[in-house]
Amino acid sequence: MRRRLILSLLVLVFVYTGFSKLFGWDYFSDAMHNQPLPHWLSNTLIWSLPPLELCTALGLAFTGTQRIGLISSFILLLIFTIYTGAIMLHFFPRVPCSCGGIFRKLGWHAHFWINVGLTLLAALELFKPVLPRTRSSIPSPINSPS
Amino acid sequence: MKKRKLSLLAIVLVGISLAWANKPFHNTTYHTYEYFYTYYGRVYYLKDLTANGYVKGNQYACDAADYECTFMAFPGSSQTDNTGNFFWISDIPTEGIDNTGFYFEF
Repeated sequence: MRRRLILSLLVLVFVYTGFSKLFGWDYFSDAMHNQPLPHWLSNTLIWSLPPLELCTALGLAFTGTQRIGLISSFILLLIFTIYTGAIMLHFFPRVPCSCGGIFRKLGWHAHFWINVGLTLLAALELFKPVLPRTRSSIPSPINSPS
Repeated sequence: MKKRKLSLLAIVLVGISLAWANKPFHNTTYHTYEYFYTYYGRVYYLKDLTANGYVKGNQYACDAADYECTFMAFPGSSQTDNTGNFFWISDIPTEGIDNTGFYFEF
């Protein structure tokens, strides 16, 4: 149940962020060019981020690719978190806009804590210990309906 | 299994709908301002940010100084200045200010 909730939340976040970039392409492109990043990196991210986010959502949605989806979402969220943290700590010469979908209405602080929360959720699911199946969890052929 | 697929489809549709509902405004007029603090509150100045090397779309850029920020105001969004105060761009006067300054008590 917990796994399904986390996966659903991550799918929702990546579908939302991916499509909001596609729906507001010019805005997203402008915002990326105004991040304190080299232009070649901004251009690369403009074209790679939306498909990456949507592929991550797709990966999370299907059972066979959920682990790849979780790894991808953890890495993406970790990078976003480190970036927002660096902005807040004034690692860059200026503070750019914190624009992107619903997060456009939030400042960098809120953005950061949301990212931290989502990264922790992804990590919780990705690194959870795989417990050996107990005797009771193995269906007994006696009790199983024939 | 079918129920799970339906709930997944619902999540995807909600995500797409939210993205559509929150898509940025088209043909938004960006206003360019600079402000600093005085005893009276924030003082706004109109400023040509493109002359300072800013590119269209940059909404908020604080210089190293604690009291001065330059930004292009996007009317649909909110900002937090670097003293931690939250404000809506729509709170900023769009008329009556010029490059000689305008006192606006915030």
